[in-house]
Amino acid sequence: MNNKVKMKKVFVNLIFIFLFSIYLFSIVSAGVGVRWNQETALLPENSKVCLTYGIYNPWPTDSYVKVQLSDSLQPIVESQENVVDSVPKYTYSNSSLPVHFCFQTPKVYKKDCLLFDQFLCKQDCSEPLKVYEGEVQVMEVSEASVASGGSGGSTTAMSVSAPLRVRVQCIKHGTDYSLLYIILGIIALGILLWRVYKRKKKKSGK
Amino acid sequence: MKNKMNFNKNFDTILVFVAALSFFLFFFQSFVLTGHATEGSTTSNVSIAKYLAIAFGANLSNGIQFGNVNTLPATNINATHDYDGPSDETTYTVDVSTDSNTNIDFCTKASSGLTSPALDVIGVGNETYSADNSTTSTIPALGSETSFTTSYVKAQNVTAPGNSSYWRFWLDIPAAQPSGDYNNTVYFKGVVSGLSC
Repeated sequence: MNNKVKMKKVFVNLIFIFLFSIYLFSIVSAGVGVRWNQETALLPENSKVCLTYGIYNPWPTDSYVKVQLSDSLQPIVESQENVVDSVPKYTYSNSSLPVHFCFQTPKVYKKDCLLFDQFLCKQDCSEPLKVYEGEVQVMEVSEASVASGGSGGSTTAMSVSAPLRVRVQCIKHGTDYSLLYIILGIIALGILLWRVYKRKKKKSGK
Repeated sequence: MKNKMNFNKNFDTILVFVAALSFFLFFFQSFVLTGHATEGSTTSNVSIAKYLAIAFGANLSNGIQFGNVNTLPATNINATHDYDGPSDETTYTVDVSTDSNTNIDFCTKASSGLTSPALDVIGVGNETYSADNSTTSTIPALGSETSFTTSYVKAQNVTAPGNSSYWRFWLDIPAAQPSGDYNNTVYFKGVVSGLSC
């Protein structure tokens, strides 16, 4: 008899826990999600890359979001395409809404140039690798309000973030004499043509 | 006369040679020449996608309220839903969607101390929290409370997809605190487990 009562108690408790879990699951608010395929980009100087992030909301309520990059990535952001303001409920990760960020790397490594600080340059790559490190943050923007009265309290806001590192690649090369070669070639060709022209003119004069 | 003609011819040859060499060197430097490999190769590729989603439980989405306080000083005032589960569990949750493929760490911060419209402030350190991956009447524990700060700090580690993070909040109000309504904003951020906030 005692065992039967105990069993019944355990059974009731299990049902209670189960119902409580369902209750907790069913009362969740709107949520935010982010999907990404790349956390690190290696780019030469002065080049551009675009990365895509997927925004999703698998929860049963529409959500309003703001997508932004951390301050450390702002110097290299070139553009943001596909602004997403709201994410419909039951938008799963495999059908996430794309947001594109394009980054343009600046010239960061100093070249050793022989002429006017611009020509006949070589790149030693002796400086440390420049890395822009930050995150893409997706924030739910509908902040809940706190009922007034009493001692007040805190409104709450949430976000998820994806890490991002942009490494600026330094491409090592010796002194670039291309300009010297082309100038020398043009001068030699010019003198040659001038001499041929002069000779022909002389012949036709005779 | 013959010598002059020979000199001219040689000089022209040199000019042709210099021009040809210059253009050759220019193209050689500008366009990298590569040999033909004698071995075959194929590429190997893998794409790794990460995705994570979180949502507040209903009570946390409605904010953190500490109710009316009539006696000061007051220490460790419970937030209204700290113990209102069926067995005194907390019902402040942040839930990780099953449509996630990575464990999540939670970071939190406060915008400022609780501030009244008259700009009186309850210090940010007076509002505290405790978080855990499970909840009972004693977990998350008051004994492991942490004060809020105005920059993100890691509050809860490794919450797996499909699970929840459980939170409790407390407030200390000093004796000399002017009466009034005090408010601020508390932020929660989900990051890939192991990464910094």
